[in-house]
Amino acid sequence: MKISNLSFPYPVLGIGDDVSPKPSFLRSPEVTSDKASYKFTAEFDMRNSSIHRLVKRGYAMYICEVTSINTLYRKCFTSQSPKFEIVIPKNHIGGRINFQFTITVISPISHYTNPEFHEDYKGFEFDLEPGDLLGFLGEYSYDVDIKYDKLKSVGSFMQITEGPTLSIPRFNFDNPKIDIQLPTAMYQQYKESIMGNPSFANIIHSSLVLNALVAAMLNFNNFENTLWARTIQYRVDTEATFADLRARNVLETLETDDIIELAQTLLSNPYGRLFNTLLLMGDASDNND
Amino acid sequence: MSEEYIYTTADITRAVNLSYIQLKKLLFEKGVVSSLTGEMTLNDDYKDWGKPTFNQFMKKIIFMWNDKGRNEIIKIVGINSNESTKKKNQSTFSNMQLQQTFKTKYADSLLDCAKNGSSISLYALDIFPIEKENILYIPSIRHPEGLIDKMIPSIEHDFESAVALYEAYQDLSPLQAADKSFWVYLAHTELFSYVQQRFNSVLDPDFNNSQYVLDHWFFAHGPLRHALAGLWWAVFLSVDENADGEERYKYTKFLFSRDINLRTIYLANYPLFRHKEAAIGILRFLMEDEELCSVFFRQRTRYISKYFNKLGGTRQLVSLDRNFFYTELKKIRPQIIAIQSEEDLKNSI
Repeated sequence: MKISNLSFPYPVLGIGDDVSPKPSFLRSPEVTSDKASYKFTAEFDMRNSSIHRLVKRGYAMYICEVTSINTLYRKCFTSQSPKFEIVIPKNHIGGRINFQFTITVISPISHYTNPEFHEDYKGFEFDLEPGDLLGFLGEYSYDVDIKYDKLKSVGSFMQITEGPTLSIPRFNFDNPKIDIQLPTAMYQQYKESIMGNPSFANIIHSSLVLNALVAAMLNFNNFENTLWARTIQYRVDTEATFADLRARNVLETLETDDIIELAQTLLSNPYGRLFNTLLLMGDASDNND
Repeated sequence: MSEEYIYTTADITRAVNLSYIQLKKLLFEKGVVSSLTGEMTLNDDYKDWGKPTFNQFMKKIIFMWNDKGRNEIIKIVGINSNESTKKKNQSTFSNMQLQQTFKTKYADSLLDCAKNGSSISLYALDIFPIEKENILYIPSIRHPEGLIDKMIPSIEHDFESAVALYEAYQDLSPLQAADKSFWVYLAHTELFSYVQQRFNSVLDPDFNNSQYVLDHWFFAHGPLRHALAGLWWAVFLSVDENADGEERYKYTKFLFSRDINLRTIYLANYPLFRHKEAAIGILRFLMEDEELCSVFFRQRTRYISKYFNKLGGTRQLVSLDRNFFYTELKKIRPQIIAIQSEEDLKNSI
């Protein structure tokens, strides 16, 4: 269910100021995994005692609805407390996983009232049916395809491959990674003499890679469901380095200047590194003379 | 018989069940080719069997054969019927212990060729030409024997085909089933003849409809409308794991018994149908109400989807079991029966 901007016909904890105190995540949800499954842990600060009593008496339960569009997965997990430990087999989910945490009625409640209702609801009583919400705790998303431990690596969202039918390099954005496709001869040169050579990395980043990244970002909207786009979105949404760009909604406005700044930030100042490399090469050449 | 050069030598070797070297040796002994080594060069009397041709699919010039060349070679080798050739080639796949699939990039290239129309004519062939070096093994899935024989390519038998496919791939996890490359592989290799006969417009002489190929061999409209993935997911979403034997599939059978759009659009494509309890509750209600389903079925099932969509806006439906959905539909039955036209549906809710 889409909770944001929703107005219920009765007061719901966590929606506006219908009921207080508003619940919140105690800390950021944690994700761990073993070979077979993921474990998602989330805990909430929920201090409304009337609702707490309804849960204890079996009229309501803490529920987490989990959806994974890629695998048509949609399930509910329950808890008797505002702490969830949700274990899901790895082979049941893929891509972005959405979690929605609520306190849901499981047995009919007649004449529901709560001393913490907003002024507007004081004196009113409500009959609630199974499935109705007593509280909305929060939402969370996690992308199981993103390699979170390798985010800062350019390789997490870009690759260089061979384009055997090409006569000039081309970019392909419709793959999990931004694909820089090189004609065969060029690709052979890249593989044999350039790839893995630290002297050339900064030059490649400031030319081929930066070009491809800017072109991809300017077309971000058309490819927002690809893994590379989700990876970049995650970095922009969560890393302090991108705070300013985040404030300017860079991935929504796609303003050219902002995109160029974003690309350079993602590649950690490629022009600066290029100039340093060129200077070093110049020094080395002078020494050889 | 077509003059077009559409068969690679690999197609011919598969058709006659010989290796390339064995075939070339035989053709050399019969005087068809002039040399055992080097490029394929036909002697004068056989020049109209094949020639170097630009292959649209592989994007390079290779030696290609026409219908005459293929048929004459088959006669030479001694295999006369297309049917036995097809079965022989199908059994070649079933010799493998592990299930195979395509590399993702190769599946994407097949999609590109279908989109630009360059491979459309290939969907009319007995066997779709593929590059074997782009096949991978899936270590965790056993290859099922004889599946092609259990799948009957007609809409009336979609249920039986779906159950056969689902049971053949019992080990398939949802994550593996979400892998498009796997279904593209099956649709172009082991189950190619099934898909081709089930969606046989490709066999019309004037067929030139890329979208048709994209709809059934690929995922133009999502997994539920793919010729094979759609069957598997429809069973997955409706099978009752709490029941035994044939009873497991009673809701699936109903899902397949009506308008195909029931399982591809009206119900199965709605997010709520991912909740198994909702799916079973709704299907049970429909199964038991012959009168309600006898007329305006399409409009009434769409009404049901709309109703629960609206209800789900303020209620946590995924927390509710099949009895809720069944009982709720019983409660609103008069409203459902009142839907007797598109106009009624449009004006409802």
